[in-house]
Amino acid sequence: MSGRSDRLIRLSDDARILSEQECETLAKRVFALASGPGETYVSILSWWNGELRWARNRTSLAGDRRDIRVDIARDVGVGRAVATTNQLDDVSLESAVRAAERAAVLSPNVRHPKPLHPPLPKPDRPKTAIWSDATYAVTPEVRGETARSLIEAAEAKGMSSAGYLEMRAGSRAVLSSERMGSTPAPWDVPYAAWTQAQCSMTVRDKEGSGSGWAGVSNHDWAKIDASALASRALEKCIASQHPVALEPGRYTVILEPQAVAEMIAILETSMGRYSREFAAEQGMGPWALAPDDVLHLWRTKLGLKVLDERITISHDPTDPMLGIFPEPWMEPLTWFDKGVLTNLPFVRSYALEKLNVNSARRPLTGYRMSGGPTSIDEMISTTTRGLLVSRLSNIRMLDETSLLSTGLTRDGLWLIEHGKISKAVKNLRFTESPLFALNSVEQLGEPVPVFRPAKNPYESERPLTPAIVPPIKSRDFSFTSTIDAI
Amino acid sequence: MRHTVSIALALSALTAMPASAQTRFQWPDTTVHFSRYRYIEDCLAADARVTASIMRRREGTVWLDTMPPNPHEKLEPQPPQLTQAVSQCAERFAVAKVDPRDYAHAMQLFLAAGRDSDATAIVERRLAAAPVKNAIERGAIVDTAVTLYVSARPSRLASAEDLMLRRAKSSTDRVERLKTYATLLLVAKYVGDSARAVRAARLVVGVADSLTVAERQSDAFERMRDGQDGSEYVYEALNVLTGMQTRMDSLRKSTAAYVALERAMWPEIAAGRPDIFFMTSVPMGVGEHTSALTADFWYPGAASSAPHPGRGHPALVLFLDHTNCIALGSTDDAQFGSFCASRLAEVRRLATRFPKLEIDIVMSTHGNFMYLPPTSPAEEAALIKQLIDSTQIPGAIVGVTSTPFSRLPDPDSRRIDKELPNNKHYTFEAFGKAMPPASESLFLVDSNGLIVGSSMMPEDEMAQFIQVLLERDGKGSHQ
Repeated sequence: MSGRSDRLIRLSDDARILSEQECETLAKRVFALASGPGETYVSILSWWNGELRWARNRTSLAGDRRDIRVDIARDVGVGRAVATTNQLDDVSLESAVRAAERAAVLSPNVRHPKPLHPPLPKPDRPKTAIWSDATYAVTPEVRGETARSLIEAAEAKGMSSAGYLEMRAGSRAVLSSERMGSTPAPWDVPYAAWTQAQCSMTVRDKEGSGSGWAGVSNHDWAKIDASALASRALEKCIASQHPVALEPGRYTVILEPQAVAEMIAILETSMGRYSREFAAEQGMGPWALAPDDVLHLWRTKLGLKVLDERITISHDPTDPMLGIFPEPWMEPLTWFDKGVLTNLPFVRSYALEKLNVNSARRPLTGYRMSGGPTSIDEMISTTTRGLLVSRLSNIRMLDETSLLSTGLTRDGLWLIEHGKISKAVKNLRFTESPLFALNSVEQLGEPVPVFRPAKNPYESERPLTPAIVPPIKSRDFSFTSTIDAI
Repeated sequence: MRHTVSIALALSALTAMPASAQTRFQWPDTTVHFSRYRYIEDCLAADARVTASIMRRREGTVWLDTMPPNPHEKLEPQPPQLTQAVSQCAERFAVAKVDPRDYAHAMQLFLAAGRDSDATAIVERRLAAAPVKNAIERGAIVDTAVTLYVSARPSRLASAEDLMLRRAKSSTDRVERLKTYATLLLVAKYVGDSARAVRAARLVVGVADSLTVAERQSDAFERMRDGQDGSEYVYEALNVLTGMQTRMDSLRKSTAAYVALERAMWPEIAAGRPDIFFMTSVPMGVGEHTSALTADFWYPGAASSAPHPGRGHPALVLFLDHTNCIALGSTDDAQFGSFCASRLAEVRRLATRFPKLEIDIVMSTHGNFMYLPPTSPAEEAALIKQLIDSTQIPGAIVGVTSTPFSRLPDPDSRRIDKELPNNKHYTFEAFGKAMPPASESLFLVDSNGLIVGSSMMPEDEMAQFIQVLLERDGKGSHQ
């Protein structure tokens, strides 16, 4: 692959993304094109995306794409600007460098001179292993055959199915002309590569009265059992047909792992220590405790028990099941330890000033939640009256302090009576706080990976990140209205 | 039939022929024709673009934060190329045809085009359209017009003053009148028109003297402009009326005489207001004795053998926090914070101009420096020293104190810095309120260790104070 840093990746190429050596060669070519002094930054992102989508048992999209994005930032005098290209020939690269230099001269944001920089600290980053050869090797033919088998399983039962299969790989490197070949700065991103795979499927009956969904994402395609996933979606669809209306109210709920992950997504947005949307040290969000009039600061709930003591939520950057893209925060982290709030995310500048450490803390992303010994069947058998929830959707927060939120159940909701599933139930709107639900836990099951596919790096919205979560049985979960959608 | 076929063939041959003279690509005409702009907003946008390009060119060659301020900049005309562009654009807009409701935009355009009479006319038409009894609407119109007159280049102070005085005379509310006169005072000071500032100051003091205690304690007085207490403006007016000459004469006689003059104003400011709000414009610590600064690390090292500020010569004491000086210290975007750079440049100019002036820079450790969490206070102090060295202040003495601190219990772990002796000793009271020195606070100390001025003083005034102190000590002034 070493001779390929001057052109786009072709469909006929075996290697679908740029290697570390190719990125460095490309960066050196860009640095050599700079006219005059000033730092040059190059961010190189290469990616491959193979996908197949179907609906009503027929394929609607099949693609195999690859592209490179090169962002070139130039410091010229008091300005800095960025130009972007995906053309890697000499003329195109030079044109991009010149465009960045012209824009830097015209940049309205004047940069003051840099102060004297002390020596760069050596970043301590663990090696990540978010890579799977099995994912990288998947061809369009394999995707087609996989989809065919899933569709045939639904058709054989007279059901309509829709689904999505995707395999991705990517690589990224952010390099500076001033540090090429020497110690990188903490804000540089050394070369990293990753893979991601996902498979999801919705099955509906012809009458439109039942719906079943199943999905899973993993960096390793070999760990995704597509046929088991199709069977699960089909079973749920059949079991959810002809639902009856149930009066809203407080119910004991058994939340399947996917529903638990969707509820914890509410927590994700609430975690902040300083200068964030929910900055606990500035008196905002659920993790602010009270102002301290003596020290003139806000006390936080760090160190206090805020969830059920059986709940631990943590991240390990060396666990490929939890990894996403290379990020500046690459340290093992526990946000909740046996129910105690132990960490809130913060940025590096805050850490330096307030904690005197040179590291940031990641948001609640790529996490593993502790579980318990109870299977979903055992949870059902020990429930006198309750609801089994497959998924939650359309969730929005109502109150930032309590995290009271509202949303809908979907793709299967069942009533449990006297230890058995008695009937399918029409979907309900819930109005509840995840803090309440995670403090009212009765039983926990085995944690499993759920459907949390990382999105395309070009998408601007907050990416979903991998999660491993258990099913939970929680009491007094509040449902406030019935809805007709299946 | 043959004839028809031949005609058809001839026609098809003609249509298949290439154009006899193919048009080559021509660059489009990109000349800007301001006179074709149809809306006032388009002209103002053009004005903003031309202004931005002129400013950008200037900022690309000069770091403005570190340049001495030009006190008369606001009275200087705008660049001729801007006047030319806006005048062309404004040609199609006759004042008589402009809707008075668009007076703000139109006024801005006319002023930029140098059509002052049209600007006045549109304001008058807008005022005429506002109900006489609707004081709020009329007040808003005047406020807008005054802002536009003042922000124009050059500032049209005469027109602004005319509007403000008319407004003040039409009001029976004395606090409201005081506010209007205070605005005129600030505007005149802002643009460097000292004669007009004196006129406005007399009006402010005249109204202030007539206020009752109830009026001074009213919400309108306590939150007069931008939430600031009216006493601030009375103090400003008294300062202007006292004048630099009187203050310098007092200082030349003795620091005690100057302090007496300064403090004589305080009762008038606080008249009937024992609970006066803290006033940001009052120089803190004037007339107070300074204590010797303490530090764990002195640069140069020999500075530790004598007390600072030293006796027998004036000194400038600058408090500085390096975490305030370096913006975004955790990324490659780290750069000098503009206020810190501005203050250091000011001190460098004063130090260069007055070599016999002692410069003491007071700093402390915070447990980090830019992107480094230093291993020891000594390492951080050395980095601080390098930072100050890069600003090239001649003869500067840097004292760095290792800050004692505690931490909140884990997992919070926040660092809580303890109060430092230097900060404690330079915390002074005025009107019963104490304020510790913030980063970039500056104190001018005389040869006996008495504080004469503080950071509230503009650089040119500070220079005059230093000059007098040096002359008083018989040390001359310039190098």
